[in-house]
Amino acid sequence: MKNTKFLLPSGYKKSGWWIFGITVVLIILHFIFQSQCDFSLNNLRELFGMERLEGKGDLFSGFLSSSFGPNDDLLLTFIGILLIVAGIFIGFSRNKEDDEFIEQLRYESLILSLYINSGIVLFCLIFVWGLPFLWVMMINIFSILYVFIICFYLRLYLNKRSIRYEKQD
Amino acid sequence: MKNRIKVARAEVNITQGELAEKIGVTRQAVNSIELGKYVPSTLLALKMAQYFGKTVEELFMLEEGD
Repeated sequence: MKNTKFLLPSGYKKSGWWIFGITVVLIILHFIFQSQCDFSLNNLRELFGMERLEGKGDLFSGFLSSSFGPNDDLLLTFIGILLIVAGIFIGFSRNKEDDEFIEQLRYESLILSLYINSGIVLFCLIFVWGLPFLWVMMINIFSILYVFIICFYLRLYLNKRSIRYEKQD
Repeated sequence: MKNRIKVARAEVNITQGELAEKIGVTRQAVNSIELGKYVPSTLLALKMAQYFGKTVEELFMLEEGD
């Protein structure tokens, strides 16, 4: 009856919210202390004296040095990874009560989020130009996931609220 | 599509929540089916019919335009 083949176990949802909370704190700290802290590769090299970051050593260190420029902000990358992981955990883990109706809500929310996200990107493509568009592109990496989460949980809440006041006869 | 789930529930005197528990779905699902907002799967329709001791056609009816 219910098809939860691609969903994570429900325990992941709580972990997802914790990761999201930590990520929000990191984002706030990053913007507050941006000028004072530099989490670039150069800084890490000084902090830890890691020769591997200069491309010397094994295959893994070579990958690191080719993937990141010396002044790339590693914290932003880490934040991005956490946001995606949190979004997947929150959005795609099973609910405690899962049935075909919830599955249908999830499917419709996914389609709705695609429409909403495409609309936002379309609007930004037309009206946002120059360097601010970089922010649009960055936010677009995560927006579809979080628009889906908002759509799904909002529809779940509205549905629960509509039956709360119905007489259970 | 219209249905007679509410009538069938009244005949056996059970609530939406109790019916939901018996057939393994949420109360939201039963409520949405009764209001015609959601069309149940074949399996769920058969489970409901079996629980009430009726046929699926007695519980669910096609309307003009379906």
